[in-house]
Amino acid sequence: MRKYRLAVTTAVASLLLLSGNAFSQENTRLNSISPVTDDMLLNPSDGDWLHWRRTYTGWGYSPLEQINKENVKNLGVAWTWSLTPGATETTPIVHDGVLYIHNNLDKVQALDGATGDLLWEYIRDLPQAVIDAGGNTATKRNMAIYQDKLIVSTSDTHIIALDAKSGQVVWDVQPADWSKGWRYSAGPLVADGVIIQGMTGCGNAQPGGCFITGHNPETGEELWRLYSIARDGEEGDSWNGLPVESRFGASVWIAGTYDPDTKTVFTGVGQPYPWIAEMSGLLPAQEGKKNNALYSDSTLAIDPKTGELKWYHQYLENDTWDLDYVYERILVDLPFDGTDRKQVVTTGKLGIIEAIDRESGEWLWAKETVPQNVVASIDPETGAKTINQDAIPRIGETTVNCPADPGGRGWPATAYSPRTQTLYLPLAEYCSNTTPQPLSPGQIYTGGGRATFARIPVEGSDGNIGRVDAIKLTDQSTAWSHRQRAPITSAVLPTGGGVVFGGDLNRYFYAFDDETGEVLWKTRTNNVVNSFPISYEVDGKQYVAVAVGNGSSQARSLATLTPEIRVPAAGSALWVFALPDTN
Amino acid sequence: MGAGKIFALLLVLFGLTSSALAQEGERPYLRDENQFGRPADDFSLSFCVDPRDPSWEVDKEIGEAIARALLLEPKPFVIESTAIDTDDAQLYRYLLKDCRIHFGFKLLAQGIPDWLTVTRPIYESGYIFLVEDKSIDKLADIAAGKGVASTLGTTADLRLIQFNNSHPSAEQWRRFPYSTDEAAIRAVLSGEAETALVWAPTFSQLQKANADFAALKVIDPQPLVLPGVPVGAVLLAEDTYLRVNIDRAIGELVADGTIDEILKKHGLEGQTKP
Repeated sequence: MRKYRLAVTTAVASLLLLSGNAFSQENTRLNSISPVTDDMLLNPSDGDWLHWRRTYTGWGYSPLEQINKENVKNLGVAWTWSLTPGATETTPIVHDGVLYIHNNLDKVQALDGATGDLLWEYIRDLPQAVIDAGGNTATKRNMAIYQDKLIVSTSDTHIIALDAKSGQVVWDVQPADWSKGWRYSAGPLVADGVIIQGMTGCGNAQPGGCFITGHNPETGEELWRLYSIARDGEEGDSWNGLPVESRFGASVWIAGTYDPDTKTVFTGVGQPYPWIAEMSGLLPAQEGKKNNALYSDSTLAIDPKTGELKWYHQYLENDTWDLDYVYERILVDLPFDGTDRKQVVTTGKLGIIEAIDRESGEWLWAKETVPQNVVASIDPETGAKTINQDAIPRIGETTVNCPADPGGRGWPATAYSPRTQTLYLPLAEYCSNTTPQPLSPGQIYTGGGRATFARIPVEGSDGNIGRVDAIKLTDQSTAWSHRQRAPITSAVLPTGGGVVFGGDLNRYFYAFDDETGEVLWKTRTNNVVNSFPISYEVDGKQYVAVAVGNGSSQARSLATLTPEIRVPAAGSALWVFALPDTN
Repeated sequence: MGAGKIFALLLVLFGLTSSALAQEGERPYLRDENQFGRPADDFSLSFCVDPRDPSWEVDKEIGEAIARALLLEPKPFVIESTAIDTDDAQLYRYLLKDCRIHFGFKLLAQGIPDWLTVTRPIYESGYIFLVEDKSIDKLADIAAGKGVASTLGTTADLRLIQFNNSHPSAEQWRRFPYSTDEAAIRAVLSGEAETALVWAPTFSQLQKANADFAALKVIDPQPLVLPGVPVGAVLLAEDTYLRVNIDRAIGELVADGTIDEILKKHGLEGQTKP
């Protein structure tokens, strides 16, 4: 019988809170935490990091400017904290000086943001099969904070609320059964007083695919469920005549963003499974049927209170390459074609930046970045894509597609700086020799795959795989492009100080000049910089935090292109940087 | 295994996920791999079988017979997971932590990961078409446009796809992919499809627990050709010495009829080949 370590959690928290003078500061830090209100979520304090990408707009931008272009060269280690070994696709939350961090396999810790002292920790008692499986689903890309609760999705497919001051479980709900293959790899978004959580793992024998749920933050009660695969009669038949039981995929594995003006949540959806369209039944196209497989590779505009789908926009029809359009939706209000437009900007694995009007769903513009051969052309009016037929995988053949399946950009997020009106993108240049393979499921169908992706450099490559691009969103021009051998494996973090932080497979963490791309500072950590860096302020001092660690399939896939770069198997850690006190 | 021929495997039990076949040279990442040493040579043979595999009891008995043939004590490790899915990292963990050899794998001529090696075939089984309509004797009797429920991604499924897609659309069957053999069979019973293409040993086992499956009959796959599928076991690539000895033992057990007796005892659809 499974049980949760409430007693352990309570004991640890109590020990840390009551064990004398050494903990007085921690006690003060915890006691000073204020409830996170709706207003705070709408307008976070500059020193806090309350959302996955800090603000509802999804910018991933810190307005802090104590660390700037001139003094970033003096940046040093403020403190470090060892994390549970394994993938570290994690984003800390910081509120009132307390830093909350999700460790691999659902250990959640509250740390003093200034000192790194442990304030409390919660350790989930996971089923052994979940622990053994490990992998990407043991890490969570984000958590959420609301009122006095930290909201966490778990590796056994529960959503739990932890008391932000003690780490004790307030409520625990299970929207789906992990043993049936359902998974959470990202955390929730709290919008308009509702917890919104996407489901992934939907290639694992879940006929009908994935879904998004809305939950009551007081109790965890499920308020609504929106399926990410269209049902019969919904938007016509877009699944080539396949019954719902034969439709798979459309995972929602990245948290959404939110426009409070229109009370609309924007979330991305992944591709249909299995990836090879001949296998999924989406090819050959049936006469009189559509085979674009809604709502895969789309933006969904959702009413957070009801789960109603207001509108959608599909970027890539019938994705047969595992080239998701699932990532962060960035909300910007900028002119386009001479008119101010409220835009939602996203970049799929193809590395094509695309903007749509977030009120009407109208497609606005696209900008290519890394080499790709899948999309032959894009209609400048509608965004409709003409696909290069030679890049479509076929059973019995090996075809070449660029980028490869982990994407010209992967889950490490892009970020937008209002300072420069520029989008910064961590990118990778590579291709794949793709060969559909049989994988007999026997009793257990596991998934999305069914192809061998032999990753190769782009034809004529100079050897550089990693890249950070800066694209001006006002005119879609390229401000700068930093290219290097080592793949960029972290999200990027632009700040009010004019620097952009990001890290790579080769363990380096960089600060780039946000206007020129010049490397202003770098330091070498102990492992792959493979997470979402953040910046926050405690007691008047600015910090930059980033988790490092091995185990993410995205980084490990990129690593096959640079075999000379060796990284340790163990050694996940949180690094926190700051300027010297004398600075 | 023919000289120079590269064998890949298809898992009877496991369907390797995307990460598994993503890059053939990649050894799966285990965050705690440093905790597992390789077992020292001793007087036992540890082997894994998985009750989620319909032929796991056959595998267990074969494992015991192989151990005895090698004058070793059989140490079966029965996997307890009830998860519907698994992946290559889990397989790697079993082979590091729980057993030296894992039974229940199809052996096919494509892309074996470098970190695995396979045994010689132990027996051969195959895929079958099932119908409820007793007037249907072969696949060719099923009219174009009718539904074929096929378990996703099997070698037989790929053959069906290629055959079907090589014909004009008006002459094609309508293939519906399903996640499991049972789901494909149920599509026939519900009338969604005319026939189901499934793994024969699975059907044998499902029949025992599902009385309504008795209404189904096996038909001739013509005009499709469905060759037999060899079934064996996998080991870590470094266990070459052990594999050679196991292969020798399998050969002896095939030759003296032991494997055939085990298959017959369990009613498993399969044949041995010397």
